[in-house]
Amino acid sequence: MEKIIEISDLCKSYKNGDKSMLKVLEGLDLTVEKGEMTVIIGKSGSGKSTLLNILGCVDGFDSGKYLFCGADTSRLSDRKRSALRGSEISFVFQDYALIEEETVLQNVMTPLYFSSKVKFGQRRKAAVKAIEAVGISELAKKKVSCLSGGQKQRAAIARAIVSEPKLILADEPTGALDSETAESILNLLFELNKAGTTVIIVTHDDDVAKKCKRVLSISNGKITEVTG
Amino acid sequence: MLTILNLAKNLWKKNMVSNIMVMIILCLACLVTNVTYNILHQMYYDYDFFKDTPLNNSLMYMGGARDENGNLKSEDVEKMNAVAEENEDIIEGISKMMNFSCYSADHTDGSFYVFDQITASYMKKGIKGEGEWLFDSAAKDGYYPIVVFNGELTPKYDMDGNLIAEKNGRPVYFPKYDDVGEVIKDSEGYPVDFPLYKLGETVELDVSAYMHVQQIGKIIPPKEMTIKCKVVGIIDSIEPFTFFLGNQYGTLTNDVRNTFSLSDSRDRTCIFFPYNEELFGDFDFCNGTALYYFKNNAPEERIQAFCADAKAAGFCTLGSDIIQKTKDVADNEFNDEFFLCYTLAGLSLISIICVSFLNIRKLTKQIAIYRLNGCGFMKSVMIYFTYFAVMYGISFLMFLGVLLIIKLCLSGNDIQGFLTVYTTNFTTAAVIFLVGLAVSAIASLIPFIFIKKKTPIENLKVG
Repeated sequence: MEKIIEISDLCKSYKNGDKSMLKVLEGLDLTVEKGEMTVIIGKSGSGKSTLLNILGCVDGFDSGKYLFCGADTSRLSDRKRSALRGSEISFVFQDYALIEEETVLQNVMTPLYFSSKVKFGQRRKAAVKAIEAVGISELAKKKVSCLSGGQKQRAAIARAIVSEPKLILADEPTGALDSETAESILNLLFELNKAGTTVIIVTHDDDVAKKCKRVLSISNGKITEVTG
Repeated sequence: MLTILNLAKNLWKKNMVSNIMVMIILCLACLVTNVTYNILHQMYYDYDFFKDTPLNNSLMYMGGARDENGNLKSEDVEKMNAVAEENEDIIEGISKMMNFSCYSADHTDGSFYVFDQITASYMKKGIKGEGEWLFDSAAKDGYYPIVVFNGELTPKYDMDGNLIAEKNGRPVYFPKYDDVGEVIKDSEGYPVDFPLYKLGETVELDVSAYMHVQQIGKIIPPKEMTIKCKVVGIIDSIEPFTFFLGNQYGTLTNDVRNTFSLSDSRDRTCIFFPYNEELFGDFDFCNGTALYYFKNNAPEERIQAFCADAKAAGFCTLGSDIIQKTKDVADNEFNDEFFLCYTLAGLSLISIICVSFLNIRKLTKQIAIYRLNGCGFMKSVMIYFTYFAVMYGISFLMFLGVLLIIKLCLSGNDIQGFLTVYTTNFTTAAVIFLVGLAVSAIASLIPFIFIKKKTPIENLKVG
C-alpha cells in the first residue's frame, strides 16, 4: 500500500519562558497509508497540536524525517510547503476557521485561489460540487455568520475537499458540536475516507476514537498503536 | 495578480468605514503636501533662481552722496566705476540694466528693457519661446536684434474669431456697438490694439530714454532715439523674468527676494534689447547703485580689497551674502509657517499606521486561514500591501480630482499666486505618489511583524 506519511525519529522542542527547552515530540515514528482513517488521541499538552502542525507542513521540526508522498518536507521552501497545503493537505478545525463575513461559496473557493490544480474558469464549479458533496447546496450564498455549528463544519469540510487533497487533517472536528451533529460530521468524514481520501483526526474524545479502526495514542512525545 | 486583487478586495470590504476615513485623510495629506511644496518652491524661487548665476559672484554698491531731492547721485558710482576699470583683471563686467519706453507706429507703445550680456545670460533661465535670445546674434545691416513679448492686452483674435497674427499686419478694427449692443453698420470702428510682433519682422522703434537723475526746477528731456530693429526672438511668457533690485527705497538690499517681477507688466508688450555702448554709452541712467560682476578666477583677496574700496566710498554687499541671506530668510519663514503642514502630515502617517494596528486582530485570523489553505507568507504580505496601495491609489486620484476642480473653478480668475499653489506638476505629483506608496508599504508590513512570530494555527486562535 502506498505510504502517504512516513515519519521517523521526529523531534520538536519549544523555548520556555525561562529560556529552557521543552521537548514536545521525542523520537516519534508514524506511518500512514493512503486511504487510511486514523485517530490520534491524547491528553491536553501531549503534543497533538504540534504533530498536527508538522503533518500539515505548517511548522518545522528539529530533527528526524517527514516524507509526504515520498517527498522530504524538511527540504521544502515556505512557498512549496504552502503549495502543499490547500492542494494536497487540508484542514478541518474545531472552530471551523471560516471567514464569517463571506459566503459559504466564497469560503469554499479560498484554497482554489492559491492552487493551480483547478483552472480559473472551473473554480466556481468545483466549489459548488464540494458544497453539494457535503449536503449544504441551499446554503452556498449564505454568509457563514448565519449558519449553525453543524452547517459551518460542513462548509469547512467542503473547503477541505474542494481541491481534492490527498490528506485531510481534522483537529477536534466535533469538539464544538452537539452529539447528533457530531455524529453526522464524523459520518461525513468516514464517507470521504471511503471515497479514497486519507483522514487523520486528532482528538482527546474517546467516543470519536471508538468509531475508528486505527487509533494511535500520543503521550510523552511518542506514538503508540492502540488499535488497528 | 488577479487572485491578489480579488483577495485585497475582500479585505477592503471588511473595513469600509475606516477605509473611507483613511482615504479622506490621505487625500488631505496629499493636498497639504502639494500646497506645501508649491509654497516652498515659491519661497525659495528667488534663491534657486539666483544661486547659480553670476550674481553669486558680484558686488552691489550704493553711493552715499544724495542730491537736494534726497535722490542718490551718480558721482560716487562714477568714481567706483573708475576703480572697477583699474581692477579690470578681476571684474568681468558692470551691469547695464535699463528700462525705458518705446513706440512703434505698427505696434504702439511698449516697455523697453536693456540688458548687458552677463545679466542677459542668466535672465534667460526659464524663458520659453521661439527664435534667439539676446546676444545670440549681432546687429546686421543696421538692424539691431530684439526679443519681444507680445503683451496680453494685445488681442490675438478679432471679433470674428480670426487670429490677428495671421492677418496682413494692418490694424484690425473692432466694430462700434450702439446702446442696445447692435453693431453700427458702415462705421469705422475702433482700432484693435495692434498686431503682434512676429519673428523676423523689422520695425522702427522710437525709444524715449529718460535720465534717472532729475533736479527740481530743471526739466531734463529724455534722449530720443529711433532704432531699427529686427525681431529675432518671441517669448511665450514673461513670468520667469525677475530682477534683483539692488536698492529698495534708498537702502541697499541684502535679500534677492526684493525683486521686481515682470509678471505685473504682462499686459504691455515688452521689448528686450542688448546693451550697446554706441547707443547707450553716454547715457546717465545711473540710479545711484552699481552691480559689479567678478571673474570666476578672481582671487579672494582682490575681491576683498575691491569691497574695501567700495565700503570707503559708500555701501556695499557681496552677491553671495545677499543670496545666502535670501535662503536664511526663506528657511526661517518655512520653519515658522509650516508647523501646520508638519502636523497634518504627521497625523496622516499616524492614522494610516493606526489603521494597520487596528486591523491586526481581524487580519491575523484571515491571513492564517489563507495560509492554511495554500497561501505563502510573501503572497499574504502582497495581498495586504495591495489593499493598502489601492486605498492610497484611490486617495491619490481624489487628490488629483480636487486639484482639477479648484483649477476649473479658478480658471479665468486672476487670483495671483493662488492658482499656482493649488496646481501640481508631474514631478511633484510623482514624488507625492511614491512617498505615499512607501508609507502604505510600511503600514502594510506592520501586522506581519506579529503574524510571523506564530504559526498559522496559533494565529487562528488570536482572532
